[in-house]
Amino acid sequence: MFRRIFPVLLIGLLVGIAGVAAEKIAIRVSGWVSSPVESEIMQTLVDLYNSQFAPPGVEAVYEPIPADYPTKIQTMLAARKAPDVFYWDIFMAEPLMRKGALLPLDDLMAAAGVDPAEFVDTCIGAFTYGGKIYGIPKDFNTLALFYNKKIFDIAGVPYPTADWTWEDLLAAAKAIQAKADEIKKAVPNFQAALCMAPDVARWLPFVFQNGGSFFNADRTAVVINSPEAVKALEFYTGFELEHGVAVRPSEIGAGWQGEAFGKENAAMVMEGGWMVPFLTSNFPDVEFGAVELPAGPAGKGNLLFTVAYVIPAYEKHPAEAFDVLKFLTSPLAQMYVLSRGFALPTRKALGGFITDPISRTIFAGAAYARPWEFGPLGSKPIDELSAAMEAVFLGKKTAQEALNDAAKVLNERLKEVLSG
Amino acid sequence: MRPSGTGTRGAGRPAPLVWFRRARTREILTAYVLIAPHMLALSVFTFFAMGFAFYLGFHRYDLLSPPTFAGARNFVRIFTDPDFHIALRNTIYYTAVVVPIQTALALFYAVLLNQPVRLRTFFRAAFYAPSVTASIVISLVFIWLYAKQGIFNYLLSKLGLPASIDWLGNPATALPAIMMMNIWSTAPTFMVVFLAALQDIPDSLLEAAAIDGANAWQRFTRVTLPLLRPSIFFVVVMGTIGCLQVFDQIYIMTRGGPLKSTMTLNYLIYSEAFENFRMGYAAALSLILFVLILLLTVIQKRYIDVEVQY
Repeated sequence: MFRRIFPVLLIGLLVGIAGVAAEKIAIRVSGWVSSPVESEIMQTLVDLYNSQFAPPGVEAVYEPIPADYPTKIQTMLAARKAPDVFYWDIFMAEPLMRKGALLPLDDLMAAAGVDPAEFVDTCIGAFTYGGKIYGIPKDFNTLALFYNKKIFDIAGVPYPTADWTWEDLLAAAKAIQAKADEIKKAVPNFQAALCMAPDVARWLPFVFQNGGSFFNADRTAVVINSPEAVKALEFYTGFELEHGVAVRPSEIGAGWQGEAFGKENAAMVMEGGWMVPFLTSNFPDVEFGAVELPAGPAGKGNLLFTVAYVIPAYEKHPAEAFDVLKFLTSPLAQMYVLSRGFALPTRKALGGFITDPISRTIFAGAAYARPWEFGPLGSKPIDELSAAMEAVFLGKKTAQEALNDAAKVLNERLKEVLSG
Repeated sequence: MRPSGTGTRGAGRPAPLVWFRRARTREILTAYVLIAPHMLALSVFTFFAMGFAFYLGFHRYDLLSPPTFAGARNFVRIFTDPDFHIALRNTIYYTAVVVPIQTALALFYAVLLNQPVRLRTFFRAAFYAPSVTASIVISLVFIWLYAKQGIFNYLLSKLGLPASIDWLGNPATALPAIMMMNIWSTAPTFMVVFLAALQDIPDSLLEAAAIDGANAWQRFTRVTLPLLRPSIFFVVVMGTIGCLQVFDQIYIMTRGGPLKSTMTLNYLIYSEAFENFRMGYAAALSLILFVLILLLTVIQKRYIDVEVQY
């Protein structure tokens, strides 16, 4: 039996090998899909690359990953099946960089004439580890204070400005809350001046504005229970607990702050540039503006969210993969993404092309923003600090107790990670 | 059985023995061939996975760098890990509430549907429907039912009760909310087991009891219930194992929150393995869960699975 089918098998195998040899090198490009627009933009870019820029014998293939992105990519990396070029979020960057799972890009950048200085420093700095660059950021976001013009008008409170301080924010919130009954007549959904979630990514800027930080200077200890950070948490939760001028999204049946703002439950929220496409497509009637976050006692502070394209360390076709990466972060690709109103370019030279005032506000925040990352701790601090914030909001712990508990757990984890 | 009279196998009669051996060999071989596909899948996806989990439990492994030997460090760490204590407490609380209620409810359904009522088949199908619905779908539907402006709060408000409960957002109500949902969706599965067992109980025994003067309640507690003992054992053991391993509903509905109030052992294992990439620690946790399940099953076997004869 076997003898009879053996020649057939052999021929099949040879034909198969010949077919593979003649086939193009496929460079797989993966990312998550935040909205249908994102996958459409990516497909357009990949098609453009294949038709105009791809060297002979190379073809880029877009393979989006719809859910559980970090888990999927890390298991693919372990199985050596990772895409050749993929998105990687800043807060997950250091764990991968320190384990040597990503390909250092310095030599490839030098060979292709890509100068790191062309990119916003904080963005590229976030993907630099041990003096090597592991990713080229594709776009970024910072936070801004979004306000509902109609509610401010009814309350007779002047619109926020870029030079607001913590006191101005609190005073305006109180002034709006005092007019709650009047506002409700015109805006029936109105609940509170502010919507503030127990979200680390919204509270951390207050820590920076108060002179605190997550790590100590040489990043060997977590100092999120410092007096500055505790004061920042007290101030943040105080809007709701002490002054009654803020609500949490979960209390009013909203999934997140942006939704509460869109439904006009709140007059102000602190959110990022993603608000603009969200509001214009879901709540086109809401008139809004945005200014930089208010300054705290220690000045301005903000968070920088960014995503880079990276290449796995064991990449078989590094030059070809980098060529695709170079195209995706090129001025042409970034201008196209910007024109679709999707995200801000990481190339400094393109900053001048940002005309929309809200996008300019978001871009301005990058000047003093700190990257949204927790070094080798990955996403663990997000879980621990969210729990700490929830405990304070629910009155189970004081800000000091909650942050002490979180800092204890995080310092133990940091010791474990740094030990090997 | 050896035939009597022939003390030894005669040297001149080897043939039947060889034939016997051949036939037996063939039979054994056939058996192995028939179970081979399943054994293969089982050894790769179950036995190998179990062995590897045991191996990983004593190593440090983040998927990216090769595993390094860690001795018993993972296990030592477990006992000082506050998350483990929270998860263990939540899991035991969950199991202790869900198993008795779900078993009682399943028995109640079964007794009810064993009565000769009209549309009995319709009711059986209707009661069973939640069990064949995917838990993911049920979870997604219940997120809306439990929403602050959802149906449950609406019904409460109709009854004049406090109606602004943030079911899944409040640490005091999140786990009980998931418990209620799971009792409702799992009880019918076990109802089927009880229904089958109820139909196996001979009418003659119940009639005899009735003639002896036992009323309906006495017949139920003195005849039916003891005869259901093997089924009760099965339902309690399977229910306990299911409860100790509760995961998907939590993953969909609360992701362990708020304030870790719904973090169960299995969710902790998942988050350590696939969010924090501490495969070794997660494997050690899963070994602890295995020991817990084994212990509880042994205890239940001793106290429930007692043979009853009439």
